[in-house]
Amino acid sequence: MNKSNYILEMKGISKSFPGVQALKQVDMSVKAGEVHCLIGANGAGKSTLMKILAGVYLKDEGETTFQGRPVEITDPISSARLGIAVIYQELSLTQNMSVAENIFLGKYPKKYGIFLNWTELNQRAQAIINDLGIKIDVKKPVSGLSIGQRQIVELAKALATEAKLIVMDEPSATLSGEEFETLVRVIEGLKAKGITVIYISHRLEELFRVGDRVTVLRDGRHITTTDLRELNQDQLVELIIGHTLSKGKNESSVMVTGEEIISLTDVSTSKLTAINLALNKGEILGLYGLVGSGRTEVLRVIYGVDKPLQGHVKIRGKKASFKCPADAIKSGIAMVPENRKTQGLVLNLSVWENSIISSLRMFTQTGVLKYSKMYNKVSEYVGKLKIVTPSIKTPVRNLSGGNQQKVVIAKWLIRKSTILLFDEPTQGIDIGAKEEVYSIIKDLASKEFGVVVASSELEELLQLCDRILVMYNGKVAGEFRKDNFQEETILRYAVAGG
Amino acid sequence: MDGATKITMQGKASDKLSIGQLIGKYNLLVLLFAFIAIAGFLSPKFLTLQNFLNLLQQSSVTGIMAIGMTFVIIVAGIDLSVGSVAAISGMVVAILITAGWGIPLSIVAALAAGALLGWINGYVSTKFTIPAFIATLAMMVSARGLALLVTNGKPVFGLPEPFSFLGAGFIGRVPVSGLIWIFLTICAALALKYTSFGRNLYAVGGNPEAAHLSGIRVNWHLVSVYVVSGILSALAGIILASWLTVGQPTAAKGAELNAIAAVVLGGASLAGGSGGVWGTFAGVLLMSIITNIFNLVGLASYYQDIFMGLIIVLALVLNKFVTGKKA
Repeated sequence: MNKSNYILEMKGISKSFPGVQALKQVDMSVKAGEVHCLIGANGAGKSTLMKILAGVYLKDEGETTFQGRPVEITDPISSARLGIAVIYQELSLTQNMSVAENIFLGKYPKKYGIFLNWTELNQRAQAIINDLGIKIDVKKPVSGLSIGQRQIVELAKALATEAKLIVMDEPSATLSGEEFETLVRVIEGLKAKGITVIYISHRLEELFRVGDRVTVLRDGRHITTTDLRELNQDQLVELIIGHTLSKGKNESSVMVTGEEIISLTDVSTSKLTAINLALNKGEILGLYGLVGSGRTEVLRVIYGVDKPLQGHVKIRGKKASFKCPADAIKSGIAMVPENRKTQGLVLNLSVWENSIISSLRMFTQTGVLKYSKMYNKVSEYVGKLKIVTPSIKTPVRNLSGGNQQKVVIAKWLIRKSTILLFDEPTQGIDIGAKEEVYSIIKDLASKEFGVVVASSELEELLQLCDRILVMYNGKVAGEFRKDNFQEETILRYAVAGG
Repeated sequence: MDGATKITMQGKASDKLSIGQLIGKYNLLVLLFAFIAIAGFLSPKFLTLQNFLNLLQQSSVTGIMAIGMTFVIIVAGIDLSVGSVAAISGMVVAILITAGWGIPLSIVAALAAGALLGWINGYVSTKFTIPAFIATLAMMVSARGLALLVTNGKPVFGLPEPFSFLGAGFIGRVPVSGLIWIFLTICAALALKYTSFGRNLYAVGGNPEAAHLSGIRVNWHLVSVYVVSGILSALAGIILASWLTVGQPTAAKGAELNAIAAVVLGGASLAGGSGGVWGTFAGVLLMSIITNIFNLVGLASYYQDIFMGLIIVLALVLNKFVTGKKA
């Protein structure tokens, strides 16, 4: 095969973050004019690799060749200049401006070098949209478009910059079936024009519809690059999950008493379909699934952030209809959210203040806050949870990630919550702190708390949980008990739904 | 990990501030004393008890409004309607007293009017998610119009002598309005520190999403601070009417800007989550002292405005240099 067939060659790319080797000597070669799929489980390195291509991250080592010439991509601008356009899941359109303006944002055609040439702007934008075989009025504002149409506008924007390589990060995650069909047509159109597409998706069946070749990553390594026609779905799943996963350590935990404290019956929301789930006293229940599978949404329904459209939630046998988190908290439910900095803590406030934020009423006498009682209680939990801080008056902003997470946990223990929902409890915290958080969670379960842990790290759930529910596409795809934890099967359910 | 977070503290927390932090924390006081010194140098009359008592009286109307504004700014809001609400409440109290309602009942009615307007501010901005800037700007315009409409723009005269006790009366040599201001500042400081309502305001202003997920009723707190601001503006308006012994529909024009400036000078951030009423108290005093100095040196009023603006910006820039934090 002629070397010049490749529009992009990335060779020996490595990238590490503090504590994590995200990419190890990864190779990826993309042929001009093909649709090249990129796939891997959570943490396989897909996003990191694409961010290096987009100039968001700098690689530690390795070489990149684009259109036969070696290139150094140092920032997003140099990437765009080469003709690489990346369309992220969170679209980057300006809501109130017209489609045409968005397509040519910052590169408007001008009259006499000063005045915006509206006629030309609208004509050229409409031509690009029409070329894609889509009916959108480019004079209308973006805010009136569906998610699928916005994807198309993003593509048009990439075409307006004369991009030669377009990376699409999970374009289908938010699309309806019909919209997906449109997207497939548009991608075929791009291919016909000789534009290369890198397509990232978790939905395997899609890859076989749109893709020519696929690169599989696992644990930051390149596993294979192969023609999709030489592969069936089962073989692809095998490649994604591999056979070399190590077994997690399963320590014996307290026997589950069997008293049901949370039950969801046929709960549906806009993101979830007919979820059935039960949590027993003293049990740690895991929710595993890929990004967007509905893990977080299940926790949000239990916590009263989202309301079920159908079905019902029962807490300790009683039907619950929470209007807001405050109601759930009254029932003893607590949430340790995914993003502790934006959702869990008020960063400017001190350790003590964040710790008692939910239980201020417990420290008042005839309406007056008792500071000595609060300080003593917080100091007690700083000791119990081994929170490392110079003082309880230090702003939480100054604490490490692990200690910040412990402050969030302290907040709920001081509130005397008995059902704890953890969303990605160890995201972005170092290994030592991780183990400490695990031992706190296990300790809670041994004290007959009910614990639900949603995570994208299977290792973590295997180590912690008594039972794991696997989420796929907003549904519970499978359930595994501790005596039957088979990593490969769990991964298969998460990746392919069963 | 942060190098400074190695020691686990048990028991009561004792923490010492560095010199930089000390200056940062008390820099407003430093500024205050600097201006007091300048004023004392310019005129021996400034450093007399009588002048300070006068200052207290002159500052009390803005000072009381600024207490409510502090609450609003702690939750990252803004209330542009305080001047207009004060005017309307001054009109209400004057009209009702001259209509024979009696002084206590008229005052209660005027405070209730302020509470209602404040509630509308809070309700409109939270329920319809309209920025507080716009909701209270609309209130500022409409309330002023209403104040002018009720008497067709004419002031209400004929207020009885006992009513002037609030704004112009003295206990010993101390002005009553000044005492009210100090008393309310103490109450507000205690409420901010020793009630769950007060602590929740800092959480709501610092990170509304985290506050919501921690079970704090964010919208309820937001509406509450506008009600507090409305009531305090109304009180300021009543005191102003009492002082001038007239219900004046154009009273307290532009007062919102003085109140906001005082709160920000007092160390609060418009981004929310920080600030306190003692800082605001000092901020109001500082602005009054500066005006006082201008008068002592006989500066024409247009120049006064120019220099006041400059001094506010300079004070905040200085603050930023000393503490390295955003104003």
